[in-house]
Amino acid sequence: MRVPTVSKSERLFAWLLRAFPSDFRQRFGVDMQEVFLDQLNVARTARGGLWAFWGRVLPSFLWAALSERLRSGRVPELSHTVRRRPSMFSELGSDVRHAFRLLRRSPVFATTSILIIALGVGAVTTTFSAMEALLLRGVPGTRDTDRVMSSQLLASDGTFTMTASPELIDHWRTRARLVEGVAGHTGNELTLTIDGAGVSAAGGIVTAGFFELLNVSPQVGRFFSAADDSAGSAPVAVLSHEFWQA
Amino acid sequence: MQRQPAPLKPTELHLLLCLSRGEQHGYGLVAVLEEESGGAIKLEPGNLYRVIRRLLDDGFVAESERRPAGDSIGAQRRRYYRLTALGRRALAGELRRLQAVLTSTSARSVLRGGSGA
Repeated sequence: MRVPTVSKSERLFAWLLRAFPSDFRQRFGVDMQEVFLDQLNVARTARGGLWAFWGRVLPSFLWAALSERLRSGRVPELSHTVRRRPSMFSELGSDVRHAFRLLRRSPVFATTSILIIALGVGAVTTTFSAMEALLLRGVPGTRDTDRVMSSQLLASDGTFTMTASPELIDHWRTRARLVEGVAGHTGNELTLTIDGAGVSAAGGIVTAGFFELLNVSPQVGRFFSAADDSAGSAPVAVLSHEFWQA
Repeated sequence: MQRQPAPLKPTELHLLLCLSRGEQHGYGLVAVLEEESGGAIKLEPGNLYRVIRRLLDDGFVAESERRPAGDSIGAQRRRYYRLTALGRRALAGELRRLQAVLTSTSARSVLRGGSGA
């Protein structure tokens, strides 16, 4: 355990003097420091050293400070003075001023607190921005995505999903009465051959009408038509702007 | 405002007794009190100056302009206190009160070790 040095004790005592009312400090502060220094010099060579000295001095010193404050009525919570009830805003103003005074007295603590709060606010803002973009906001360019619903075929025991056949999707599309349209989609990692070289791309296979359900329109060309779904039709693809630029 | 005659607190009594022998500064009062009380009274600066403040406010003690001759430069810088005439009367009154208590039959019986019951 480290023993506080004399200079630290002096600084601590000077700081503790603030516990006394200001008029008392102005009247006796210098003398109190003189007496403290004398006692401190004796305590350094005494049994128990500075720790024993502080253990004896501190409680009594703080009690004396509290007693002086009570006597001078500077402890509002404990004094019996009758005051006009302050308005909400005047009380708020005094609270804010009090908070600023406290922070100004401890600049290191204040700076650390502000930095921690800034980091916390930044982290929360980033997290919620990402959540909003990924989970709440629709795909860019789409409209009314809150009316789009995705469903899966599950095995009767719920253990695995099944792929709906094009015939089944067509059956739903022609028989559905409660929805505007039905389209099928499946996500795949595709390998494309461009100029004889294989290129890997994230993509999927969708049925005709898929893009129309999302209310998007192509920048160039067209989306899939019903003829593209028929057997033997030429393969067609829709490229994203990003893939096209790459 | 001067206080009505009332029993002095033990620390006040000791401080006034100390000052009755001459002017003294804060640490001098602490040292004398500790020595005379056999270490029972150890005043820290807060309590010392609370008592001094009370005695000053009551007019029992006053700040002294003079400095005892021969003291060091450090001691010359310190603030000295002296007993006022009012303080001397209050001290004498308190000592007489204590003397009356000590010389009472009951007190003598207790001091002799009698049960009194």
